[in-house]
Amino acid sequence: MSFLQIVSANFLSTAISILFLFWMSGILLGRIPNRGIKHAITSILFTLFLTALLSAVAAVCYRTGIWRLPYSIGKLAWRYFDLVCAALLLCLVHRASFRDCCLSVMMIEILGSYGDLLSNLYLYGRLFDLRVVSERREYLFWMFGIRPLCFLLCGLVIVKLGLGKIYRQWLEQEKIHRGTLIFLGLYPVYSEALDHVVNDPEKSRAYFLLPLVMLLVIHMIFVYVGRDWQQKQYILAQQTNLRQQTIYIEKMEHIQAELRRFRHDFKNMMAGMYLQAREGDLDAVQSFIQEMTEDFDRQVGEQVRLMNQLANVHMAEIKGLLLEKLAWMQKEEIHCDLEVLHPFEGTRMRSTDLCRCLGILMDNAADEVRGKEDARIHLMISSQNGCTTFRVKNTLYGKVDFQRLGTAGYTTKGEGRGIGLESYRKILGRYDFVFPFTAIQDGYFVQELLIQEV
Amino acid sequence: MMPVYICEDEEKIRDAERSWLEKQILIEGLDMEIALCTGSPEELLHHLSEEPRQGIYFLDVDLKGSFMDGFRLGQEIRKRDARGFLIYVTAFQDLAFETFRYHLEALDYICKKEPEKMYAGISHCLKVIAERVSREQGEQQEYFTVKTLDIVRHIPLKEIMYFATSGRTHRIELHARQERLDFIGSIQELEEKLAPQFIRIHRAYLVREDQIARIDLKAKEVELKNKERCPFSRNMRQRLLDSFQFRQ
Repeated sequence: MSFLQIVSANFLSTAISILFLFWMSGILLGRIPNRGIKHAITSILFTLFLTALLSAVAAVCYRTGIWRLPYSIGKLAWRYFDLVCAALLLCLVHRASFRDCCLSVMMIEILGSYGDLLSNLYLYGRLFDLRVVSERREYLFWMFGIRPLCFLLCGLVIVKLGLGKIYRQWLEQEKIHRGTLIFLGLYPVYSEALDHVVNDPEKSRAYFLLPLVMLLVIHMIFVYVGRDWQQKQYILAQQTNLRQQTIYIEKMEHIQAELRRFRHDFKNMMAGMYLQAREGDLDAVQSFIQEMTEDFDRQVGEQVRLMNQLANVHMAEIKGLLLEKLAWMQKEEIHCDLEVLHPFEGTRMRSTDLCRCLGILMDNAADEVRGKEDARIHLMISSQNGCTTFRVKNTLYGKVDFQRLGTAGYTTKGEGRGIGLESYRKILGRYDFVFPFTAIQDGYFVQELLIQEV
Repeated sequence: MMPVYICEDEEKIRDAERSWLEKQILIEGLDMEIALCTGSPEELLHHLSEEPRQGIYFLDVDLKGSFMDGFRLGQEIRKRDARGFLIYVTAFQDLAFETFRYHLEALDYICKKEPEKMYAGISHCLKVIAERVSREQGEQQEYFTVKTLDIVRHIPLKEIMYFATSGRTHRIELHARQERLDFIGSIQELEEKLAPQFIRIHRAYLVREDQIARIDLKAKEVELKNKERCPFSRNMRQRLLDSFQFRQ
């Protein structure tokens, strides 16, 4: 075969592998790239370039005999080169971190080996002489017919098993165990080593053993990590729940204390009003009633109102965040109004991201009004017509360079700050169904987060 | 003459509102009239369907004996009268007014627990409405209407500095003097709609022409009057220079 013929054949087989890579990465990373036409064109061009490059490099390796170097050194170098290229491609297409892409590529490599394993069953013990037309045809049928079908079958099994979700949970861990990383990273080494050891056709049944052992080990890792993750989540939920309960009890005790105080004042006020009423002084009675209502609103009503609004928040993470922030604001003597007209059950946005965004907005609002006279923040959560709105509004005291808000390093709070709104915008950049709104309206700084739920 | 509607389930309050409004309209010589005073939201909606025009609405929040509350009534009124003035009259001070204002563009809310305060609130609202109506009649301001999910905003066109496409599909960023928001749209359609006030200086930027303060030919950027910078494409260079020189 001429060099060009080898490159052409390689191009097709590499294209099949890359299609499998895209499909699997979509399942494992749980996202379909959709970042506009420019990104799509760049991705397609880079994919074509990479496919051509890998095909050419593979042809060179084949022709120069690099693959036949002792101890599979050439093959190993080629496999790692292939993996790094694939990781770079995923980085560009999915805009994910290099670490995540490397791990995904390694996982796809292992999963892909099952596809190869299945397709090799067809070839079991066969060697093709590509100079013979009939054997070449059979080889091409295996390469471009059986092999893609096996990949497809393999992929469908992974989809059915819901491996993507477990994988993402594993990937979301802050620190992945070093041993696991080494174990995954060295897969090409021991697969080649095993291939080297059992290259004897007599023992070639063992060749199928490695992917099966790997499957078992990966399954064990996932089960272990999954259980560990679930336990951590459970503990975290329990801790949040406990914290919420504590704050809730504190609030209730506070309301009770206020009620006791009010009851005392109320008795005195009623005694006074009784005398005024007996004397027929209606104006004084009216002003007594007014004072009493205002006192009640000030001492107890506001707290009760706040708790009533909080009762409409049914998402535990957000409720916890609000309780903590409200308690902190009360200590800082910042008045915070909360409005939740309709019950808020939950949202499509990831709870951790939503908590971070809402935390940033509330912290910024609190920083602006803290220590100022008549410090007020207004928070509204509105959930209706398939849309959820979070609106944080605070009085604006200082001057804000509105155009620079959200850009790196800009802050109104002194050195070393100003990363809040920047990371806020970065988080929102990951969601296509979230629409931010920022404005200065009638002396207030308003930040909104609109989430499309359906 | 602007119609005034009252929807209140308590008869005594309804009568008090009506007589106070009539008195105020007469004393202040306002171009308004009481068109309907009812306890039934259905009657009000039926009346509006027959005579749709900009009106003033004094609405109770908690309407007993009806399938809809004040919020729902407000939503129905908005479908029939997008520019009307909604004022909520309530006995509860913990009314979620920001939510009412946000979704229904309600003008104000009045607490009816104390008659004196209620009367003062009504008078204040009438004054604000009269001022707003006369101001609106005098000005010829153009607005850009943008809908993000179920929220509609009207932004004065002169406040908008530029539009930019973000990295995501069909997502447009609107940069105004004191507002910034994202919405779904097409920069192509915006260009056609907002020409000639806005010019497409770059594939991703549609800028208000009279806001360009400086052209940085070296960096291939324009600086706007609020110091923001936007890139321009090579084929727009001459067009920008010509229009800039013409303006000066």
